[in-house]
Amino acid sequence: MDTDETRDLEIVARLRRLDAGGAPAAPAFDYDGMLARHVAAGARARRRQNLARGMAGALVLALIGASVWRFTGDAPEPPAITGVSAEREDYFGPRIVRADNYLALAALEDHIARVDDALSVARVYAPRGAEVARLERTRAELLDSYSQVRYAELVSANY
Amino acid sequence: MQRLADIQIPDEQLAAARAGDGAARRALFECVAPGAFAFIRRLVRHEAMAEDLLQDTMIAMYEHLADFRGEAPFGVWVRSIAVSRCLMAFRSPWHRARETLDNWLDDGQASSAAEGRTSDLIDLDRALTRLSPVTRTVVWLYDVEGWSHEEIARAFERTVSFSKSQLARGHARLRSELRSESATPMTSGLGIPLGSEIDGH
Repeated sequence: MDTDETRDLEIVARLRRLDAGGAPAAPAFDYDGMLARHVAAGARARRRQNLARGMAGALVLALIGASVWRFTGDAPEPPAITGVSAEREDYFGPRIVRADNYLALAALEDHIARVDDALSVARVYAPRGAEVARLERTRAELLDSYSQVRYAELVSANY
Repeated sequence: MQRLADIQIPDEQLAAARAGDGAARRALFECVAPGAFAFIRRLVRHEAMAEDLLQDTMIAMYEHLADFRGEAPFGVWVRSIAVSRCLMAFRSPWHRARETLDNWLDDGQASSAAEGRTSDLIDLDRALTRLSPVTRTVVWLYDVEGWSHEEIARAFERTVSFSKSQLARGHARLRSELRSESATPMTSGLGIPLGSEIDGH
């Protein structure tokens, strides 16, 4: 009888034969090659980290600059218009740059994803260890920051 | 070549590797790396990505050697590291984008050299590469590595139902792929019974 179940058993048998059939290919590097690759990957990661730090610094400076510019009163006062829609239409004061929010959120999301990955690894080795607790705390703090930036974005969008 | 899960390492060699002895570490690599690469290659479609994951796995193995308590064969412990690394890679947005692009660009080539293998195994290999990475991993871990649904659910941080549904979906997709493979000339799929002359028996 040719049922899905029998076919599944055939598939399992074939998969095991495929596994027994030998290695698909050998790795292209040996122990020394692996160490060299590891060193190169570390250097690449450091370069990326430095770049990210530079960008984050520039982002913070830009945010501070935008805030100072916005609140020191250099900008002209918005004209007194009674209608809400007209006020929105004619208001020409500076606004928070959306790209800054976007980059800040993207950086936070990226950081949270990295912490998630680190948590997955840490849980494999010690599900209730101190490292897991520390990473969970970091994740909670990052999520808190993330929600604050989101809130700020929402407020500035409705300003 | 020995399967990864069957690899056992003598205690003296492990102790030397833990102590940082270069020769012992090199010997450990030579013993474990081929099996680990073969295992990772079954879960990951791209050779370059599999090599990166092998490197990550081996580095993590060296870094956590002190955590290995010898309750299971050494290869089983390394396999759990490899699975964890592969799942991390699957969650990465880069990997997902690459898979989508590859699915669009090609139609799933067999992941490995076909020499010395019968056509039904080549078809199966090709069908496996067409599964999504997650489904392929669940199918391989359950059917070949002998993991339970509970173990798979724990590794994926999902429910047992997730593992069962992925397995059922994977089998259904393999059945359908093999049926279509068998319909095309030059290849034979599930339509040819196991143990036929094409199978070499």
